Amino acid sequence: MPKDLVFKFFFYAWRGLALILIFYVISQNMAVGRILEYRSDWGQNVNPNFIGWYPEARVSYPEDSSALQVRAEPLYLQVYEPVDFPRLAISGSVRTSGENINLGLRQQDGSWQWQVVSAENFNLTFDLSQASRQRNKLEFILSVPDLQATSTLWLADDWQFIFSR
Amino acid sequence: MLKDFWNTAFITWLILTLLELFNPGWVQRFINLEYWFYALFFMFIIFLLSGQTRFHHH
Repeated sequence: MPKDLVFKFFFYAWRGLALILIFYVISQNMAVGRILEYRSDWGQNVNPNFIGWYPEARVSYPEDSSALQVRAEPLYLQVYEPVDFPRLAISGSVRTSGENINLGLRQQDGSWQWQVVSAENFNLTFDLSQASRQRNKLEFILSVPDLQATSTLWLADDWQFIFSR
Repeated sequence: MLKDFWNTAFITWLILTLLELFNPGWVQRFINLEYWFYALFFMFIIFLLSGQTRFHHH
């Protein structure tokens, strides 16, 4: 009899766990609200919301800095967008030694929608209507054409990505 | 009991894989379906070796 009970327990336990897992995955992707917000995590090159910045050899993330150092350009970032939103606002801060920083969003025709990061604390809004979505991911490029070997460019780990309807 | 676990894990893997196919990235963001598949395959081989699959019943 106790053996039956154990079998029964695990019979329901496996199915219960499976259902919880499936509903967890679905709930994490059902962005039903008007906004969806991500915070940067540059220290983890691949995480559920971002892939990047890459190539990894062009950046470094010293553990005590809470910022990403850019050693070479261009850099790329993929941002996960579970369902289509019309707009994306990106805000955050950078530390530069005077370089011009451009942030581009890849479009369906292969071009980039450029925005200039003009201040140390910036706030940019991208129109996503023509954005290229590869497997539900948006692709960004960070271009710093006048980056020199002596430049110091840091991307603070305080960037916010806010999708809105 | 282990076979029941395997069956449940296999059905769950199928559901999650279908979910991933229809909504790319939904599942792979959180769960590595490839490693899950390898684990299922590994367990299946163990069952085969220990004669616990239905293919070996006489």
